Amino acid sequence: MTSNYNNSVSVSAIDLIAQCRSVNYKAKKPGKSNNDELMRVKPSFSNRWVSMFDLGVDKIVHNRGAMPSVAILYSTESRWNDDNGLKHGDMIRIVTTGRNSRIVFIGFVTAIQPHFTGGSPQGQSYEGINYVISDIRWLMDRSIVISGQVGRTIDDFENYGQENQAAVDDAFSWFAGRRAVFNQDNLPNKDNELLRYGNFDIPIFGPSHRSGYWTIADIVKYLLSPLWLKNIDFVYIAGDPEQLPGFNAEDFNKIVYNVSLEGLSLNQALDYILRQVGYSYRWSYYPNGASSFVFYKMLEADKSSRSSIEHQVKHKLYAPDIGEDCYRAVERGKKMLWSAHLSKNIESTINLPLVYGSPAKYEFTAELIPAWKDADLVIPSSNPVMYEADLATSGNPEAYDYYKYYHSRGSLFKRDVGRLWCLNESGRYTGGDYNRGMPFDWTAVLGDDAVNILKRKNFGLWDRPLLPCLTKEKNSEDSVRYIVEFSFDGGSTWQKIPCGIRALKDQAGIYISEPNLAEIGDQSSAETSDSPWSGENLNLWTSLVVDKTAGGELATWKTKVRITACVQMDYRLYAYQLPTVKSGSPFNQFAIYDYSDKYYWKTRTTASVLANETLSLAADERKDYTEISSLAERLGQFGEDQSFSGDFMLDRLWLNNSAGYAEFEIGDVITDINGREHSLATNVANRSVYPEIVQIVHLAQMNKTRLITRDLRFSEVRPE
Amino acid sequence: MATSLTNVFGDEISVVAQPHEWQKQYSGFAGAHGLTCINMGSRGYKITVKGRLRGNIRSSYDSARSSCQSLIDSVSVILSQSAADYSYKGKTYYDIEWEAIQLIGDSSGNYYHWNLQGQVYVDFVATGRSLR
Repeated sequence: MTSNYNNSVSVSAIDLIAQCRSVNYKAKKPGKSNNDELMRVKPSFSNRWVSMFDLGVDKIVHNRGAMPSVAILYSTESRWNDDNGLKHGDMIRIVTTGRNSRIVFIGFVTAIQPHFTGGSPQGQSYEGINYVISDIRWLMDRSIVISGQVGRTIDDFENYGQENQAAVDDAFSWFAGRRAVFNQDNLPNKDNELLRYGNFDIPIFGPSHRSGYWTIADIVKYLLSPLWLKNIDFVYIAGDPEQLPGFNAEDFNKIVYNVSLEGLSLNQALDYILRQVGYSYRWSYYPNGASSFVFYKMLEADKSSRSSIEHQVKHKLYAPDIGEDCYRAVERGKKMLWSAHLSKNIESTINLPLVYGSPAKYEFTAELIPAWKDADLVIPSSNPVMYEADLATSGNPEAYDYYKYYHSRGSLFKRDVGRLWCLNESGRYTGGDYNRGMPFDWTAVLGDDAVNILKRKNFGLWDRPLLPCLTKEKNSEDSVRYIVEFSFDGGSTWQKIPCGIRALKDQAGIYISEPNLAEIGDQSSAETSDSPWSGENLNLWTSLVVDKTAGGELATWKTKVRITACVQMDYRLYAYQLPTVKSGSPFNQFAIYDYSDKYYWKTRTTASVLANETLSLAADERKDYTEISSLAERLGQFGEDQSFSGDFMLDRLWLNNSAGYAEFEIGDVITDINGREHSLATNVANRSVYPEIVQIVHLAQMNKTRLITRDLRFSEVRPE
Repeated sequence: MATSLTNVFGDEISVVAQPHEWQKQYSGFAGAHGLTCINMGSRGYKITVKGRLRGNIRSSYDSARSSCQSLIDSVSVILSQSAADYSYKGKTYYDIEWEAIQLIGDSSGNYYHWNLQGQVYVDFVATGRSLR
């Protein structure tokens, strides 16, 4: 029963009593049942709550999010080695006594702590037993680990592949070899068809071609479904998660990419996923005796009184003014502040956030230069070209210079001649023995992105390994990878010729690994028409020989190779926010936030042959500048003021209000300390925010309540 | 069933039971006047028994004193017993937990007195607390 201060400065202490439902269980024998049965030992509990008059309540600690709340009980009559019947796993609830009895805590005995000391003439001896009671989040931590993927096999469908294909209710499989990664590699993997399991419609995993993207709401419904909660269904079933207090369909309707919950406990997974949208959760107890999860958005407390729909409230505490008679405030029912420790500091202020997105990537098409020295290509005086058919009938291929120097099996094989084609992006082949012209100018590919605001080039002379194209295959999310084309007419026409090619790892270029360059032939079976021979088959080797014989500049060569690929440049998507006048620090205090796996800058340029609209090939393009700018702005607004944390001790226990709801809950905020008229507001995103309660400790023996608050920085809000 | 205090301490006793005690928790506030108070509940009451223990009549001081000491030791046993009910002059005192028995000396600092009858006697005060 809650006491109040009306018309009196003297009140009765709140009495708390512990009640117990004993746990009963037997270990199941391993048998021929499925793995699910082998893993689970299902306890049961006695039907009635039995009051434990020999147990005293020391303290109750309410925690936020994934951290379980705990209560400490102590035995009032037992010796340290007594067995008073309480055992591990027993369910304990703590209630207030009196006519309007309320539940203030429910949990399980997780630790039994006998203790004693012999004392001395100066100090008394004592002995006793403490009991640590942890709430259901502890059980969720220990009994449920998120792992693998729940999905379907072909057997879980009716009429698979036919027009009337339908998923079967209650039919699913758990795939331990797959990882619990949602929207892996930024691809959708939530089956478009929900799993009907009992009375629940549950999102599960599916192949990308019949999947959509997971949202926060989907993941919460997956986590709090019977698929996982069946491990503790002897004490808790969430019901429909959308009906849980604080479930916000609008805020939770946010897609998250590449989120791995593999190996996390259910509690940890829930905490992590909710923080992506600035939410947390707690376990609350209601006037009707029920208890459940309550989701709340951090720092969003708006009202001053709690109800079934108002889950976060604002509080004003009272510290009497100098010389004030405290009884007046007590008579008005103020929440009297007995002690407090506050900290306002700028150490963790960040008023200049710099948010990094991914480095810029561009898909393009460009001609490659021959990355060998001209002097290394010596036309054999006899048999200047030999085909595989010729070599097969030759008794000694090594006798021929063509084979010896230019075939991959030759003893003096010149590995680069005719085979190494590069972009020369770093100038490696400019001047000197190679003399292949100036370094590749990215201006033609990058357009306006080629120069910065100072009109200087945006790229350095760095080696850039080629990356797979952004262009996707038809009906697939796979990249088309690299497109290599050959021209034997100086670039008038281009053709793809199947042959062995690999991309280089240390620079933008390719290596033709085909054993015999003469087998890379023109697809129209054309013939050479120029010196040193005409009428010979037109292929890569003969075309190079023609160019060598002609002796002209590289630009006049008829043999050309071009590549369509993607390359990463030297600048990245980024955004920052400068300090405003509301900043709590006079200094520029900056931090780098690396979101390179979330915000991208990927462009298929018009320089790519795959950009041709008639090809109708989609590309994995992103330019998330608006999103990253918005994030930087919000990070600046959230972090620029001083941080404010506090530890408040009230002069008595504050358990439940007159309506039966808890007076203080995790997620509530403290706005002011009246009496001394001290505001706890700080500026965030152009509005006032207040320290949020992250822990509540009810010190039953001292009859005091302690509130621990932290500001935004400790609340780990992700303001996305 | 209550035990008579005269059976424990003998006939030469007087018994005083104090009113109930209450535990109050006071809180003050920095810079402000006054206190708040929380009534933590009653904490039982104290009972005091004063009296005289006489040993048996003996022919020597040593023997008489030994007899008196034996009586003191037997009375002291109640200190190790758990709370029980006691009665005196028609009043029952419930759940009394005995805390201490103290011998009282005279103005000369003597505790054991030898009278002409050959008895050694001591004065004592026993304090206890009701748990109710």
